[in-house]
Amino acid sequence: MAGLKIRYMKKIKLVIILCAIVSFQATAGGGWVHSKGKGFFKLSEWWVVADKHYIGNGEIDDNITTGLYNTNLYGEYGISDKVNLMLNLPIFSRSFTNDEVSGTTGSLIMAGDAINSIGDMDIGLKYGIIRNKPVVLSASLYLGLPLGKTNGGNRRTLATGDGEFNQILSVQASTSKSIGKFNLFAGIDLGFNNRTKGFSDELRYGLEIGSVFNKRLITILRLQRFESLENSNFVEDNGVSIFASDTEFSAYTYEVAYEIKEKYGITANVGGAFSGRLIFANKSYSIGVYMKL
Amino acid sequence: MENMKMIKTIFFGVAISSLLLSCIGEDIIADRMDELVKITTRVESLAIGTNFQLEATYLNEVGQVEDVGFAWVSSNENVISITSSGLIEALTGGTTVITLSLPGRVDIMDVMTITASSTTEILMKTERKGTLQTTSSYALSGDFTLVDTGSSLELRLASDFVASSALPGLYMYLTNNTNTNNGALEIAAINMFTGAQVFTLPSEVKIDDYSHVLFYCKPFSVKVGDGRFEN
Repeated sequence: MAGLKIRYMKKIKLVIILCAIVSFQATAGGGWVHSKGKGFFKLSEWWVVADKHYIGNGEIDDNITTGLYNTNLYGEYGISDKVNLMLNLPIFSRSFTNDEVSGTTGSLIMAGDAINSIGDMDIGLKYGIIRNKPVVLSASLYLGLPLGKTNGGNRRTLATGDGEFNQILSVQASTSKSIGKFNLFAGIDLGFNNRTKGFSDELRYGLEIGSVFNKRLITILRLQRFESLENSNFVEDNGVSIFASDTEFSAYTYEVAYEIKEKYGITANVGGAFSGRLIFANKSYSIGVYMKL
Repeated sequence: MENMKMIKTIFFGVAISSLLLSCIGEDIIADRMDELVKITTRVESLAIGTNFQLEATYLNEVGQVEDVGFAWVSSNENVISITSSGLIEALTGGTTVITLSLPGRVDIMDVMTITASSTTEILMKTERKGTLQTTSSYALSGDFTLVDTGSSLELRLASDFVASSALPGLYMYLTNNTNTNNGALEIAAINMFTGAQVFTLPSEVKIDDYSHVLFYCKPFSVKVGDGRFEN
């Protein structure tokens, strides 16, 4: 019985790490929490570059090539056996647009533009409601601090943040099962994003499934849906962005991670949208390294 | 110690890669248009014994006006003669065809038939019309008219004008190149997205200077739509 419990706890610890790997901004997957003094930290590069965007009715239209690059620090730390401190911070964020060059004469039509700054920070707490059971449940509260820039650049179209203070309350439920050398896990989450400065509030929900092979190779599929409650007090006019009000999308993320040593590993993921409104229309990518406490 | 060194190396590697990957690139705009010459003063008839200075314009491969030398030819020099600068003189009754081209080129030209008679008649347009069409996923429609009131030139959007309000910075232009707003004459930002509106143009603009009305989201260089002048 003691041996079974040890194996179970080890499996839980592994899956906690796995869910943290797929963390996307303030929607860290998984109902598990780290115990006191344990944690997970990831440094990653995330980017999206798009020459198309979803307009308000879901159709896709062209735009000048625009990109956003974030060097991201993500962390989870157990301040007690039930409570984790969470942080997501783009320590360096760069947004740019391309030069426009005449294909006929080769002359510069319009110079490109760029801004660099820190990005919007998400800081929060996660509380383990049900722990050490086959199905675990937790609740999270994130505060989104608008440290990034808005209306930046010469044309005032570039942004590294949305300029508004928001709060995301969510619940996550997860479970896992071992089959031979595979550890399988699955989870669902449901959240509400309360936005300020007149931005529309959002409903967020997601599903993730994954597997660990031989305790080293991790593969994860995450599906997410962000829905706008369309209760903003202004007409959104910026679909060439990821920071708009009334943004909606149904998206997927594929992630692969490999544990190099017991405490370190590397990750890579690609994400895209099945549909969207007022958001970039292209895939995003991320590569990173993680460390466990 | 070794672990910290590895972490620092990875951190700087990631930071440097982000700077390199996020360099400003180039969007190549397919802005080629057919070159064009046009005789801008249209003469129906010229009184015998009088002369008249014809004017012309050359639009280059990106639809912009360029100063060039022209080649003028009259098909019947005995009826109406023409100089190398485009000055015509009516000599005797009859009809001639004036051809405008570029020296050494026969691929682009404009022609005008003039009758030498007892009166001089210059064709003066006072109105040009067209219809807007969207070329994007954003709404744009309605009729427009360019009117010479005698004291000014007005671009009038009709009561059926509709444009999407979802774009930041929707601007209206006059242009000879519908592929770009580079070199276009910016008229105004659109602040009313439905209904009739009137815009007074700068005094130096002539009624025949442009071939299209163009709508662009200026901040993001997104073409929304255009409308060709039908006359």
